Amino acid sequence: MSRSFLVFEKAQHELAIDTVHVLRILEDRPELSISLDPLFASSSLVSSHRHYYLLLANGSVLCIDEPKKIINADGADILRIPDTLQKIMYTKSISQVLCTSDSIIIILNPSIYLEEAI
Amino acid sequence: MIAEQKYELVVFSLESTFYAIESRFVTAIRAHIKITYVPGCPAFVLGVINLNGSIESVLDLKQLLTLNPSKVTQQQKILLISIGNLQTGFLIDTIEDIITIDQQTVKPPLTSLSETVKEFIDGSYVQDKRHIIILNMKKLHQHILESS
Repeated sequence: MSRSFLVFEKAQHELAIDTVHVLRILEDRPELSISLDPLFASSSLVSSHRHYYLLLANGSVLCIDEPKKIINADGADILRIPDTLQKIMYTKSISQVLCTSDSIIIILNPSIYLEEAI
Repeated sequence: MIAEQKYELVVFSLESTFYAIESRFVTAIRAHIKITYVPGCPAFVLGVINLNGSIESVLDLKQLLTLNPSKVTQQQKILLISIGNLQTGFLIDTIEDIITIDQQTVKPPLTSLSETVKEFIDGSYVQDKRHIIILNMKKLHQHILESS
């Protein structure tokens, strides 16, 4: 089954969100948005000066650095993160990756991330 | 300690220090592959790699041993290990040797090592004036699983 992902940049890393979760990309800062910074707590976080905001299907808004592209992927392009790694991760919102010909992009499940963030 | 009288070790270097792992835990050695950072992981997780369609984690052995973080370079290699249900890679500088040693020739860990590091070490072995730190993979495995 083919899925479509919005690839965006956060803290100089590329992440992907299934487009079924995304209603719109906003350029103006909304009243309330949720940061992805806690995911990068173990790295030296490099913040971007410019931010964009993803209006999600559940009404929440996620703050990102910059939207980059849309990638269509088959099921075979989506691989699971090893169970042993998932067990030691601080979040359940990352369990899959998107493999392209030259890179691995981490897939973020925004619903789980928002549940953890609230 | 390891039960067998003789055992085979894979010796590798990491920033001028020599370490060894029992060869039965080593599944492959790969040239440096681009490591993708995974958010939400402990600091000793450098990221993941794609190994022939399978995603594997890569760990920083130095941070696991509570030492300063390793410097990541393109010349490094990835030592893939398997123990219990854990398959992962350690970033290393070079593979130095594969040696078979007698258990009785293993000396206690160097006194200069910290107590934390000693916790994950079976002992040390001296070869050609090189001090080789023999890692206890079972204790490291346990430490990794308890690090969440």
